[in-house]
Amino acid sequence: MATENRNKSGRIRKIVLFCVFSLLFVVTVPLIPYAIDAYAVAGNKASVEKVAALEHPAINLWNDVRQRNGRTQGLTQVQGVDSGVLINKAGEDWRRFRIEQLVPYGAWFMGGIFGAIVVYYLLKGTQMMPGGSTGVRIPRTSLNQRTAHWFTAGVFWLLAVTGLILLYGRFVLIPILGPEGFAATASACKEMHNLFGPLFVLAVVAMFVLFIKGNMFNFGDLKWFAKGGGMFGGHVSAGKFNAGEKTWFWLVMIFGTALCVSGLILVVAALGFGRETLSLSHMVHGISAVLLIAVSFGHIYLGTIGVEGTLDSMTTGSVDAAWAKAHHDQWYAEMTNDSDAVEAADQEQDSGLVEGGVAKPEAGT
Amino acid sequence: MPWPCWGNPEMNHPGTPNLYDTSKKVADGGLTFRARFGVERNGVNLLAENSYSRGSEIKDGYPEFSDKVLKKLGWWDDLTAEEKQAAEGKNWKTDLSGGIQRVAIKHGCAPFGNAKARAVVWTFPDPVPIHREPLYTSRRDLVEKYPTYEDRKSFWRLPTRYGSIQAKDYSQDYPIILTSGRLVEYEGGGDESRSNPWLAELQQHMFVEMNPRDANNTGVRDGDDVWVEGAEGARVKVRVLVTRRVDPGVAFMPFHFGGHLEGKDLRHKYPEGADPYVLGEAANTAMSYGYDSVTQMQESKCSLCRITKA
Amino acid sequence: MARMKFYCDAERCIECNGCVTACKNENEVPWGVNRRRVVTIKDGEPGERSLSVACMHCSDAPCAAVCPVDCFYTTNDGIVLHDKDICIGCGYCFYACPFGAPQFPSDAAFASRGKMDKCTFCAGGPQVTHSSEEYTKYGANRVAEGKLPLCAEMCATKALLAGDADVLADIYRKRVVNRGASVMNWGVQYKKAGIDG
Repeated sequence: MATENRNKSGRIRKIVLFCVFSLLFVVTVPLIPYAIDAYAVAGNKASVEKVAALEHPAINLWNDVRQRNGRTQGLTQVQGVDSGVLINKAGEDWRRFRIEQLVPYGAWFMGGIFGAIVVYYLLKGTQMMPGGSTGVRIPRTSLNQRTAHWFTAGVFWLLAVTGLILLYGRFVLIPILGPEGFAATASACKEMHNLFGPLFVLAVVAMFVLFIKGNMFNFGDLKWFAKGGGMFGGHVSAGKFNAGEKTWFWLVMIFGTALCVSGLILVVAALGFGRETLSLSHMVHGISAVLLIAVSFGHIYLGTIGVEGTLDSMTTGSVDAAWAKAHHDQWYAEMTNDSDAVEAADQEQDSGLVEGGVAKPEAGT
Repeated sequence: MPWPCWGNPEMNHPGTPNLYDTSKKVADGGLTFRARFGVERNGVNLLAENSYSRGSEIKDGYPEFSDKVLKKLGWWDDLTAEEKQAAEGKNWKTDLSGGIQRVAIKHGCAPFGNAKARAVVWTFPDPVPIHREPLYTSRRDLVEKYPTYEDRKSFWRLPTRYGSIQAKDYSQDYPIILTSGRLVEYEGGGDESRSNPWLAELQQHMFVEMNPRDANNTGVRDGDDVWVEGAEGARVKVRVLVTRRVDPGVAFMPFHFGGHLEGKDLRHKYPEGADPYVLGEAANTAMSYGYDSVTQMQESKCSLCRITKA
Repeated sequence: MARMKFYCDAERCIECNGCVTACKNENEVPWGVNRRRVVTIKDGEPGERSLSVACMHCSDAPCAAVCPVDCFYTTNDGIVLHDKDICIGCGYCFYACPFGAPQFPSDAAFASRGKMDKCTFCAGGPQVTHSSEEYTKYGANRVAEGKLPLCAEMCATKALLAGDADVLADIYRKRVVNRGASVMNWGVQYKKAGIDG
């Protein structure tokens, strides 16, 4: 039994072994080509490495040309801006910014703000002076201030319109004017923009000097912001300039300065700035301009048909007491405490003079 | 067409792209060294020995071909009757039928002979060229080994100095080797090519090439102005081109400029309309004394200078 | 349809500026305006290479994309040209172009840019072919005569190639294959590298 068993188990072992070997055979044989291949690859790799050891002397040429190893400037006999740069990387960034961002987003942003104002006006209408005009005039701006304001406004809109024609004319005006007609328009716009652009520097400086007083932010402005400037009803307290006006002032200062600096860099081609500087300036110029134009819509709306009586401060230089009380209560309080000023205003009113410039203009401001 | 292209058009010789290439048949553009100066001098054979172009039937040096050589070799009858008439009493240069050339090349030989490439010019001060240190040199150790010539009292009737200049060591005061050369944009003195706007625009400034190390030691950057003062004290005001093309201790100036002299613009002295678009210092102002021992051409390649920030 | 292209072979260009001069000669371009230039990378150092560059006549040209007056157009041969009667000299193409191709004469008033000038692939401009107006504004129109740009025709080492992109690609491919390892190993001739070509 034992031997039989052993025989039997021996046979079983043989069968098992046979099975295992045949299984191994079946599995490994198809792998042989892979092994040969792997061996060959290893050999190839060695020879490839041997060739690679012979380094091509100009191995980094195209990296240098494409400016992948930092800014590489070659030597050239041709004199000119950036003439030693074979491939300018900044150009592509600038192109994408202009075509894919500035043009569409700028249009949406400016159009959006304009549309929102129209909708707001249609819903709310002009905000009238509470209780109507009192007839009491309070001097608000000096002649210098008004001159500076309208000078700035004039230059700003001249530059804005010519600038917008250059930015959007290709899409909007070429279908209307035709290529030649638009070329003449655009050429005139470019020359005007370049010629009158430097005046905006004067405008920004004048605005800063004449309006900085009263335009510094203070703690009370937070409350004004929290209440949304009274846009959704409720009374908001403010000094001579409310937080909205101050924001507008500082936007003009900051982005106006950005426009001036970038604009001056762009306008004098003879100064020979490189393309990186020029395209960066152009980005700054475009963003600042679109922002200021969009916000100016709000400024113009509030100054004209948005709020009754506001325009007076930039035309006659004096405002109605009711207007002052409603929108600038703290300033109104200051002005009325300053009896001279009010008296002066009253006299002015009595004598029929409404010229703010004739009254003591700087009083209380 | 590369030179020389042998024979008449009917031969359709391909030209000789590389001179003295004996690995090709003469008919295919191979060549030997020309036997220009006879066959022997002072009993020494001037013809080639054991050297000949591929396919040559003469497996040795040979003189230039003439009617007599052909007759001696027994190749005279390879000429046609007309060629024989033209070749009689002529050599390969004067035979206008081209027959001598044709037959020589047919036998694998160069018509102008096969000689050793040797330079022995017994009428020159150095029959075989040897190195001689420049008059102004920074390698004083080589002056003893390779001295220049003695001063000559009458050289083309002019007294000409050599050794007396070299004897003095200028290298302490003038440490940088100054050399000059040409640019691809200009030609010669440059007056014509600087008057051509297309060429003049490509090189608008006279310059000196300096190694970054020298530029650093001088305290100048690429594009700065410097004074290059030659070992004889004359100086030129030029723009720096910092480049590794020149070694440390070497400066290079192109010689195509003129119209400025020691920092002064002399444009107003040109007759009206004759001034080139581009003017600049002449490199020779700061170069050295020194004349070729045969032609008396001026030294324009080796001198010393001192460079200071302008 | 053919697409005309330039290709400059950096292994062949010897920075002779012959192409620049040929361009000036053929198109009578004024001083200060260079439609083509040669730039040397690593001048005077190992690995020094030069490339001749001009307008590359891009398939999707950035200059055309940013032009505020849309003065660019592409010919049937794939050559990017512009209309100087429409150009206002704003310089946007100069910012956008990767190759620095647009050039501006500086003689305009107030130091502003004049009308842009660039390589025309010697294909003139929108005016009547071979008219004197076309020549004054844009230079030669060799393409209309069945010739290639003079810069490439003049190139002594045939580094600068001009023509149909497919043909140029074939020529360049052959060159690369023939060079093989030889340019990797300085001093090894084509023959010794086992490639006779």
